[in-house]
Order: sequence, then structure tokens, then C-alpha cells
Amino acid sequence: MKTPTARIAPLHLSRTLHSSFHANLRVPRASVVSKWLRSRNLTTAPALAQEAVPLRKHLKDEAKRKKAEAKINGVAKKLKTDPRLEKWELAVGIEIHAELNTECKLFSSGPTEGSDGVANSRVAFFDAALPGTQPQFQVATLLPALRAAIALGCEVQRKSGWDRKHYFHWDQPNGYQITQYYEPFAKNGTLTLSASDGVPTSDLNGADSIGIGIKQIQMEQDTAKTTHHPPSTYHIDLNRAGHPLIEVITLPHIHSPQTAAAVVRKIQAILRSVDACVTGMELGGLRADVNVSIRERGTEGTGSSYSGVSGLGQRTEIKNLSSFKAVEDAIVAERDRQIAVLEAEGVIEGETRGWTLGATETTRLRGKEGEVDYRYMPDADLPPLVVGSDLVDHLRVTMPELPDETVDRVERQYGVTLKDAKTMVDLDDGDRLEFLEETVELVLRRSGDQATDQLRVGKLVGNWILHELGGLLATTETSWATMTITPVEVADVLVNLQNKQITARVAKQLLSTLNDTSTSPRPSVDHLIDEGNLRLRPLSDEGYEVLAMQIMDESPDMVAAVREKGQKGKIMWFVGQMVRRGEEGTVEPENAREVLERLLSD
Amino acid sequence: MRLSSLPLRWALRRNVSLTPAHASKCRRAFSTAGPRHDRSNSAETGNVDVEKLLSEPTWSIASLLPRPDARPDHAPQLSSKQLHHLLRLSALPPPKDVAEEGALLSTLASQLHFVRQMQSVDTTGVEPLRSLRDETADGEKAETLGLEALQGALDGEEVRGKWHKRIRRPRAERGSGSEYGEWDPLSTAGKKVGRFFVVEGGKEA
Repeated sequence: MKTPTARIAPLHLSRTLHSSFHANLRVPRASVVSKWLRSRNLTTAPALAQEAVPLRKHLKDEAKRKKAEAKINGVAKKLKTDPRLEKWELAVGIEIHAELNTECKLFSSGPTEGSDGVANSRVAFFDAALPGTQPQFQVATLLPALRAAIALGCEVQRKSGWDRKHYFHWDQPNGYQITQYYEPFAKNGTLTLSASDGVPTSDLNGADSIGIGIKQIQMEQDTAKTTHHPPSTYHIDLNRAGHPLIEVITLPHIHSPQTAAAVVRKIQAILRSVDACVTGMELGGLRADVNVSIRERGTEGTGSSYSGVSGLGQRTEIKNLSSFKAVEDAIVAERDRQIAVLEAEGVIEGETRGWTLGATETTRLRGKEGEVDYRYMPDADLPPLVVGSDLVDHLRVTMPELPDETVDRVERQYGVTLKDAKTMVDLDDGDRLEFLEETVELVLRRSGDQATDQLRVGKLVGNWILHELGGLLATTETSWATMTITPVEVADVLVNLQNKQITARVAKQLLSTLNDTSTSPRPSVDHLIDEGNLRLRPLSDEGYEVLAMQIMDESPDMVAAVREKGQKGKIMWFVGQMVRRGEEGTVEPENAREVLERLLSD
Repeated sequence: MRLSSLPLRWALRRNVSLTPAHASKCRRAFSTAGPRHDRSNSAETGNVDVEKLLSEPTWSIASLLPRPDARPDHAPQLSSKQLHHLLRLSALPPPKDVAEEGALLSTLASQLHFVRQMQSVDTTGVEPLRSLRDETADGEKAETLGLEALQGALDGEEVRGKWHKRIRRPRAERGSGSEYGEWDPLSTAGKKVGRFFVVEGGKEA
């Protein structure tokens, strides 16, 4: 069995495959290979082809392949719209628990990080609930909490309280959780979502964006981590006990599963951008509970209401969803179950349900009779939390750019498409965007007196950094952080490309070489170009014609396809062949295409 | 003074001269007997006959417990099912036999009577006292967390990036060397496996 390190297909093998000129010889696409590898629990890095496969090309090939498959199957892939949704309307409210990015815990000075993940090594006396220990509010935890509240547009309450929520569980050493039940520290915010966030058009109702109301944000303690050892033993790690959490509660303004997943994604992105909550859902730093109810369109449901939103049906709660897909799937399953119950003249009970990955229906965890009585009471050991308005104002003024603003700015200033801008902002914690901005600045500076359009330069640089560099990193399995290429080098390469000193192919090669070079000493780009004799020596027209005739003679069937069958797309194949066969740095694709079109149209 | 003062304070106040207004307020709050009209007359004249006032008790601490001879009052009786639910919530062991359950139920009934007496006090507009703190304006100002309280945390953050500025809190790679590095929480454990506390979750545990 292949070891995980030997991910790259041996080069000599792929070269023999490519040396054949029969384009209909099928080379395994990276995605198929990666799927095979994934099924073997190996790796998802694509196998190395002869050169770095640009991301866009890869995606296009994938789409083509899928379409071809669908045609073979004879199934028109159309999105099924459930007819029952004409009659029933969904209302979803989400409660998100996110771990705050702090140095110590909420009510003790136990550290939240360090100690290399050894269990039970970051436990303060209060976290272990030793008798006689008292909570002490750690002021520094207020910073990320306030930033989160301001970023989500909430009003920060001047005075809020701490309450005890009593229940017995082995992950709760104190026997109660300290939360803010009666007086949360932030209320009445909004979250704005648009179609690019994943909201389906049925929800938008013709508007550009929808606003989801946020009822409140409160701070509370996290529980300890338990691992289950069957049949009935549990191992407890108190490292996480007492870690500060914020709970973001939305109003039931969400009307589709896709919007719900979009809300969770958006909240995670916003919290990450203000450095409030930096561990994502996949690492367990963010968990969501959803409340699902349905009602017949045009009716008031069962007349239930929640925090000012009235006319809702009976809701059920699904707890502990730990991925975006789980949120969407669980809501779909629960909605379908509730519709089935109501259409069979049944009654929905207010239950707590659970969801496991890969299930088709939610499972019942607790009924109404098993509802826990939490006996909320104010905690007498803690003074009320009084937040000064000067602090809130200072944080509001120094708030970093929120993801929406960043994407907007990147689109406007650098001419990058919306999709690319979104990807760029998300990647590598914003470092890639930083790289882009610096490179654009350098390119503009080095372009000299030529009238340079920042949008045009931005688009070029954006493409190269996102797709070409991205592809290079993927094939060489480098992470962005360990990449050795600097913005100066990328700027040099692109300036040369712009000035037609080198071809795009050569540029890619240069980047690849630079990536392989160690940190010091680093040769300059110009040095590399001169050394490798890569500077464009434009081929004369006769040279182009000679090369073109050569290739045309070698593949008469392709020529026939173009001339007789009129398959103009095949011209690009000829162009590719000319570029490959010509000497490095001599053939320019645009000129080659012109010559070929001229020759082939005879 | 708060109306939620304990009965003891009322007993102590015997030694202090009563203002008429105060007397009538306390009477409304604590008396189980009706208001005394003749008292209010003397209150209006401003002349309080202290001897007469104190000659008859208007309230007794005995009212906090159910009278042994009295028939069970109109309050609903607690069922065995409710008792068991409460015991489960409090993680207390269930009663061993019927006699113990009867004893628990009657104790609970007395306690509920006590609580109802407490709840009969009119506390509209009175905020519950959560703990004894400095509730003056100065006290609240001292408690307010403003910019200076968070200055230390703000100074510890760095700005990352020149073009795309982001605030980042530097993460500690290894333990900060706090005093909790030396304390071993597992030394408090009765049962442990490796570095973990062990809990038996089975029903019979």
C-alpha cells in the first residue's frame, strides 16, 4: 500500500503519457485520483501531472467530465423543488456557541492555551470546583466579547448580570454553569446576508439582502471535554472547563436551510475577522443549536411566538450540530419530519432532538416531561458587569474591516471578481490578500510611466496569486506560510510578463523555480531570466509558418477536423502544440493562433 | 429601608421610637391580623402610646410554620411523583420506605408554608438583593470597566499586515508558567486513567 508521503505519481510515467499526441488518451484527472486516495484514507492532494495544473483549468475539466457523465446516464440534473414547500413555511432560529479568543478562562486565571495539549494541565482551582473557591471575572475576556457584539451590530448594555444555570453532569464540576440568563451584555443586533453568501432567491424576495435579527449575545462558561469509552465509562478533561464562550441567539427570521447554513458561516467569518473567535466549526470551536418550526402558509401556525416574532408553529430544538453541512441537512430532515407529522394530522411536540452525520432523520433526545428545570438564579459571588461607554466607543472606532467591507473593497480597488475576492479574503487568515495588495503596489511602481490601470493590474495579479500560485502550492504541497516566494519576485515576474519580455508559460516556470529555491541566497528574477535564456525572442512570421506546417503535416486528422468539420476549438490544440514544440520563450500564443487561423482557413 | 428586612429587625426595633408612617408600613407588611384603626388615629395625632402599641403582638414567628392543629390549608398537597422529581433534580437519594417518604413530604409541606409566607410580602417595585455590594454611584463608578481597565489587554495585541490590517492576539506556544502548571488536578481524583478523570456513567453506578 502506498505510504502517505508518496503522493506524487512518478514523473517519468506521466511524461510518457503526455508524449503521445493522441489527445483522446485519457489521463486520470486529479480529482478522480484524489477521490481514490481519499477513499483509502490517504490524502487529498492531487497527483502531479507534468506541470502545475491551474486551478481554473482543473475546475473546468471537472465540470466537463460531470456533464459528460450526466449525458451518459441520460438524467437531466434538475434541482427538485419539493411541492410540499408550497404549502408549508419554515422558520428557524439559531443559537451559536463560540469560544472566545482569550488568554485565560472566564472566571479564573487558568490558561486557555499552551502545555502542548496534555489533558488536565490547564485547570485552576475554581475550574476543578474545589470547595471554597470563588469565581473572579477576568477583565481581558471582555475585549473579544465586546468586539463580537459590535461587529454583529448589537447594543452593548451598560449593566448586565451573571446567573447560575443548575444541572448535574460530569462535565460541569460546579453543578451549575455561570451564564447571563436574565441580563445579557448585548442585545438587538442584525446580520445582513445576500445572495453571494448562499441565500437562495426564494428567501430574498426580490431584495438585495436580508437582515436576520440577533436577539442577544451573552457570555458563559464552557464545559469540560468528555470522551466516551464504551460501554459506560467517560474520561474527563477539565482543560476546557470555564473557557469563555459567547452565545449568539438569532430571531426566527430564517426561512430555509441554505440561509441557516449561510448565517452560521457568516457569523463565523465575522467573528474571525475581529479576532473574537478564531477556532472554527471544524475544530470544535463553534457549535450550533437550531430551533425548527413550520406553519402552513397564510396561517399563524399554533400561535406560538418567540421574542416578538409571532405566528409560529411548535418548535423543536436540534442540539450540537458541528458542521455547516450538518446544519443544513438536519434542518431539512427535521422540516420533512414535521411536515409528515402535520400532514398525517399529528401534533408536533416541543422536544429536543439530536442529529448524527449521515442520518436521514433527527433522533429524539428529550421530551417535554424530561425537560430540565435549570432553576436560574443570580450568582451572588459575582458583581454585575458594568461596561464603560468609553471602552465601547474606542472599540467601535478601532474595529478592523469586516469581511463584507473587505470583499467590497477588493472588488472595487483591484477589479477582482466577487467569487475570487471572497476566496482571497478567506484564505490563509488574510495573508494572501496582504500579498496581493503589496504585489499590486510594487507592479504599479515598477511599471513606470506607462498609464497603468490599477484595476487591470489588480486583475492580473489576482489571477496569478489565487490560481497560478495556488496551483503551484497545491502540486508542490507547500503551505502558504512556508512558501518562499516574496511579493517582490512575483511583481518582477509579472512586470516582465506585462512588458512582453517573457511568455506566460515561462512566468509559471519562473515561479516554480523560485518556489524550489531555498531562502538565501535568492537570485533575482531578471538574473534567472537571463541565465535561462528565457527572454522572449519573438519568432519571425516564417518561423511561425514553418512550425505550423510541421505540426499540420503530422496530424492530418486534426487538420481535417478543423477544415471540414469546422471545429474551430481544435485550433487551440494546435496552438498548444506549437508552444510546446517551439523553443522555450519564443512562441507567443496570440501570434501562433493568428498564423494557424490563416493557414487552416485555406 | 427595604421592606424585605427580616422579622428580626422588627423585633429589634422595639427599642427605637417609631414614627407613625413607619409603623403603619410595617404593619401592612408583616401583620397577619387586620389593620388597627385605633392605631392610625393616634398616629394622626402624632402621639404614640408606646406601651399600648407594644402590648399586643401583631405578628409572630410562629406564623411561618404551619399550625399543627390547623387543617391542611388551601395550598395543594405535594404528590409523591413531584417529590421524586425534586429529589432527582437535587441529586438526593430517594426515600427508603413509605415512612421516610411521609416524613419528607410533611417536612416539605412545612417548608412550602414558610416560603408562601415569604412570598405573601408585597415586593412590587423592589429589586431583589443579590449580594451586599456598594450600590452607590461612586461604587458603581469604581466597578465600571472602561478603557483603562482593558488597556493592558489592548496593549498586548498586535496589528498584522500593512495593507490589510488585522488585529491579532499573539498566541502562547507553550504554557505561560502560571501557578497552575505545578498543581496536579488529578491529585484530587478518586479514580483516574492516565491524565483523565474517570466517571462511570452506567445506570447502576
